[in-house]
Amino acid sequence: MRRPGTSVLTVVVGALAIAEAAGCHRDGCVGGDDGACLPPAACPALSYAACAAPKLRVEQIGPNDAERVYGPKALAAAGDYLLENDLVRVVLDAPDHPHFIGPSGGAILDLAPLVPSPLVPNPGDQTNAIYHAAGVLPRDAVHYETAAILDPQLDPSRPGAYAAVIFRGHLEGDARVTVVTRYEVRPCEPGVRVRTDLYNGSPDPNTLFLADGFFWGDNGLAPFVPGPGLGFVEPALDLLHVDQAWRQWPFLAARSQSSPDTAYAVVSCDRSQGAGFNSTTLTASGVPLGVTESGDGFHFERFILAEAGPSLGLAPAVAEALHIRTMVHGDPPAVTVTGRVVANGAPVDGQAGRAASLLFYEPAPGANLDDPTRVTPWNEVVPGSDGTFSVALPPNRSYRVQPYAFGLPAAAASSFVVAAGDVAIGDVTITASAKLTVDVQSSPGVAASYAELVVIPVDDPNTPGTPVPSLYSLFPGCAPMLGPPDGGSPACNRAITINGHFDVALPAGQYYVYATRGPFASLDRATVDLAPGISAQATLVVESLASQLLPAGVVSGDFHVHGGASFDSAIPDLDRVASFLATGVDVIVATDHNVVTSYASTLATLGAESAIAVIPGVEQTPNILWYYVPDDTFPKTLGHFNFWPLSPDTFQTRNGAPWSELREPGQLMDDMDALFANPATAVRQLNHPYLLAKLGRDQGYPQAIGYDPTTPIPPTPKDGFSFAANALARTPPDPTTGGPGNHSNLDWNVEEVMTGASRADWLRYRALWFSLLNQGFLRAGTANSDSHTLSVERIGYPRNLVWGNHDKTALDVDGFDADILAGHLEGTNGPVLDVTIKDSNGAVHRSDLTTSFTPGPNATMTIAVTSAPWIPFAEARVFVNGVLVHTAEFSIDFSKLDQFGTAPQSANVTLQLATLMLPSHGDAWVVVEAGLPQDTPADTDGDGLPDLPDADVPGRPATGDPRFNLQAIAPGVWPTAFSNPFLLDLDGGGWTAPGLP
Amino acid sequence: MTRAGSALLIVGLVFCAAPAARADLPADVCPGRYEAAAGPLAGGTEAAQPADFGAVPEACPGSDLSLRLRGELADHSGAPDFSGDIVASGTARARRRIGGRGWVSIAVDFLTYRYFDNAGLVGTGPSFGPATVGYHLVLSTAPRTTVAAYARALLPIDTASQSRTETGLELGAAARARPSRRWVVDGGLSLRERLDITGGQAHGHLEPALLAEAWFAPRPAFALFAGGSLRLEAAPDLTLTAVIPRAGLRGALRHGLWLAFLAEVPLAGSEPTQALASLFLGWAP
Repeated sequence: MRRPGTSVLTVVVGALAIAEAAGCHRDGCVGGDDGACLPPAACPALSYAACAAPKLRVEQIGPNDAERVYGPKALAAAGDYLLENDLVRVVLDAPDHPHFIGPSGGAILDLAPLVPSPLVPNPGDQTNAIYHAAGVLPRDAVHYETAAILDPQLDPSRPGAYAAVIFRGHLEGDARVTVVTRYEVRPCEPGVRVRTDLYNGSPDPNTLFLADGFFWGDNGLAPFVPGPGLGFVEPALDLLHVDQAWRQWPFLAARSQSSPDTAYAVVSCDRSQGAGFNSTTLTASGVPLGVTESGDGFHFERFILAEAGPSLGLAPAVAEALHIRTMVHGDPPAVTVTGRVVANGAPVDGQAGRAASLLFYEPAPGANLDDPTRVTPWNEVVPGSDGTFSVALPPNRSYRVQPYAFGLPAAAASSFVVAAGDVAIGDVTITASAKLTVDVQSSPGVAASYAELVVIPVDDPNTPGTPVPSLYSLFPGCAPMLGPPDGGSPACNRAITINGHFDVALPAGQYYVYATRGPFASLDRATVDLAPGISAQATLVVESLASQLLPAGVVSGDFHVHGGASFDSAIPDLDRVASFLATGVDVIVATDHNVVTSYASTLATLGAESAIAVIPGVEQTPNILWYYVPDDTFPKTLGHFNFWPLSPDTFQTRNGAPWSELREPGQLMDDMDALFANPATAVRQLNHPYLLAKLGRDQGYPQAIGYDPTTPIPPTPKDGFSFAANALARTPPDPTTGGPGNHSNLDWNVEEVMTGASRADWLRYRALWFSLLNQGFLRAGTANSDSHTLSVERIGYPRNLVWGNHDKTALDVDGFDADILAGHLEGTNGPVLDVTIKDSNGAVHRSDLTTSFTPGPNATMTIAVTSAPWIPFAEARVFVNGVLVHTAEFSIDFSKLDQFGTAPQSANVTLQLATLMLPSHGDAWVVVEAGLPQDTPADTDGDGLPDLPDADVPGRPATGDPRFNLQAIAPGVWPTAFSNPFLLDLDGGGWTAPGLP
Repeated sequence: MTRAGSALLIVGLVFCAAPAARADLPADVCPGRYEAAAGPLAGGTEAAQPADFGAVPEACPGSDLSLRLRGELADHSGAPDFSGDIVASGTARARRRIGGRGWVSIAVDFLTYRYFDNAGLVGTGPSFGPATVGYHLVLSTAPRTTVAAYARALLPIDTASQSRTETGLELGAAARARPSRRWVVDGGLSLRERLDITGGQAHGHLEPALLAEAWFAPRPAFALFAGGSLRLEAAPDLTLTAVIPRAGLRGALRHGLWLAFLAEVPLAGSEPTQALASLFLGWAP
């Protein structure tokens, strides 16, 4: 008989032996980060042939090293890590240099191909950042704490030579879940090998979706994943139902809409499929969903590549992705399909995809081979200038090729079959495009320098059944689509010139062709009827009316604009600056998201330093959800704020902008204080107060906290006031020291009253402004475009007119800002409003937040309105303490005017101030508006804000409507100008706020 | 042979080789074949106490087979967690007496299905394992009281793991007292060292646990019980893992069959699970 004790011992020893055997193999850091573990190189099966000039470089960027690649999104700064070979440069932000949605650095900040090609002479960076996360919530973002260079100093020509950087960290919400990532480049490889090891050291199992988060930022690259019903088509992403957008794919790729022309792709190496969700805001591509037990770990290996040619579109990146799959996963080698795009027998220049591109897909099963919900797209290519194309596709399949031009199918799709060898499919014939040449003159015979071309169809494109152009279903809404809506000129239905000359290709059709130079210039239009292959020419004259419309010393400014440096903009700097100049704005405040910019080099390139003044600034734009509002399920970000003037330092992270995350507004303001040379004239602007959230990220602070402007705000938080009111009154601790803060959350000194073209938003923002004025929180009101593109929002619509003795060629920024803070400005999207009050003593007053006056019994108010003939106005409205007390109607019939003439229209009225229902006791403030009629709609949903009952952005007016031409230039704009407040000390005892009604 | 197969083979050999034995039970305290107040029932979550690892066992020797079906629920769908999970598992368990005072036990989680929702990202899947094998020995008996000691090993058989090999040793003591004909008190102390070997790195966790419960048997074949358990992590970090009140009932059926139900509601500690329910079906020859 065996002794039981022996049996048990046998079991124990056996178990331990098995465990020990299992533990002999050390696998990077999947068992946790002990500070010494080292993930092995990713993608060991990847093997590129030796190249002519192999190169390796890894370093931490020094304090004076200019290591930014070409492109406005390049953000490398001192302290970041640089990996480079002969083909690509990768910049990894240092752990203490977080950008955008990352809680720390450790992300790919810049990723650029380095080798130019005939089609891409300036390859560059188009990435915002590529982050790591293990879930969709901020707590599951990876927070890296340390970084270290791994440089064995190998000869680059030696096989297996590499350079690497190791980042060590953990999940933001649970430091027990450790994450270690190894970025590695090897010579002759067109990308970076990435391996991330995750260890779940928490006591609980969890679904840990380790993934790369590609933060496209809405208006940048167009992401693509092969799959049934996918390609550029993306399932709607709802953070409440992420599972509905969940897909798997063999690779992810993306292509830019603008210069620099760069395409990216990522291929998983240790799993045959990537998984996640795909959207133009954010694509998450990672491991399949599964439960990771406590104490368990895993790794995620991928290759992220960047390509800049030799062709455009996705094709180079997809070809490389398929090549990698062959090496790593053993997929059969891709075949190369070649051909040529022709029209009328002549080759078609793809013009970066505007005039021709081809989408390749496996046909849908069933009768409808082109059913977009069932086809399987694989690649996209843009033909070169000779019409030829070359595209890689998986072998042994049937395909369809659909040609596109100007965002619409340019011919019927055709079929072909590939086996294991390369295929030439011959000519793909498309409908020929037309060509339009326009010369814009600033006066007859004199070429204008900067101007904008706007093309709209003669027939209303909103007519049901009219095809809607788009970039393969992305970014619809342009008619015609001369180029990708968010890209450089031509974009959407617009183009910009720097010499008065336009040469654009466009689809055949009947068009109104406008030339414009902003609201303070005349407008000209031609009508063209273009058949396929036909060229047309027009000369349009657009004369400046600024000297007739604007008083001397008054300059116009847009204090909220974005360029390619913003994560949600892709417009190249040259087109951005040209658009400033074309719209006739005098001063721009550069307010890119979370990065200080100035456009200085572009202004110098254009020789336009004296044509416009650019004040560097920033829009602090938090992206990480963190702030809980009672009764709201999800945490918030606390809105966007602009700050200026600043000085960009391109050697610093974010060019010197402080990190904007996890901060209340008062803390954002505290952060900025040290950056202002003259704090007394520093501007802190609350942006779009009630703009709705975008993918969970609140864009307006009052909207985020749910402030009802009919409710009072206490001087300091106090019981009995609403949560939102107390939040506004709160002074949060200094974010750096933890000690008392300097600014309350209400300490902005300027509020955007009008942002962009939305009437509904303007009325809601105005309600907040009026509420604050009534409560004695005196804030200047501004009007800005918040333009991110050439076409979707229009620079300078609206803008501000700043009164004073200002000269844009030598702008006194302090004086300019002081006038803004004092309310010496008006907002307008076209009409020019000049309001003065002559008091009983004969003194003339303009709007002023710093000084009140006693008008006296015989005071008069004079309201003068002027505009270019194509910008209609009909009335002036006088508000006293936020209540409409008088409407003065003007009798100009804009529908009978020559809207393309050069005679400004004007009207004025003088009112006895005493007749304006001033309060019988206490003091008052007065604001005047002018424009088309606009009632204040009722609050129908009980949030204290007016709710516009009809369409926010009305459809196209009838051709005889006086708004027709303005709507063509600035869709959605409702002509309006508003003054800043006059403070009336009615009782002579000093001005006191009237209080809420 | 796979790692899991090796371990199963060892367990099977040991269990089959162990000599069955009969000996006099401490009749005044240990339950008879048709007596319901026989516990404690194994509790805890599948993650914390897989295959009964860490669960205080019976203090009385016996030979039986049982099946446990366990369901766990955590609902933290609101802020700030936005998470939740459902785990369903089946555990097969057997005891066999060897010698007069000892017995061996084996248990295996033969099927576990997990559903973990992390803010809309849902991971699911079935798995097999792990298993435990234990040796138990009555240390002392006194009138109406018995105390047993045990040692148990966690066998690294687990298909849920990606890179982890989980094993461990557990030592403990269980006690049972019968203060009156209808009342029984039982419980015990467990001290386990759980060892995770993941990617070549070992992580040990020293985890003591306490269990105490009282049984009331209005009739010999039917009993109710209530009590509680306390679980800690003593090393590497001192952490209160869970305080778990428990209650249930057990009935003795015909032919040596028995049926029991156990409900647990973790109240304090780091354990995210909010409710557990287990259904037991057993047979004592």
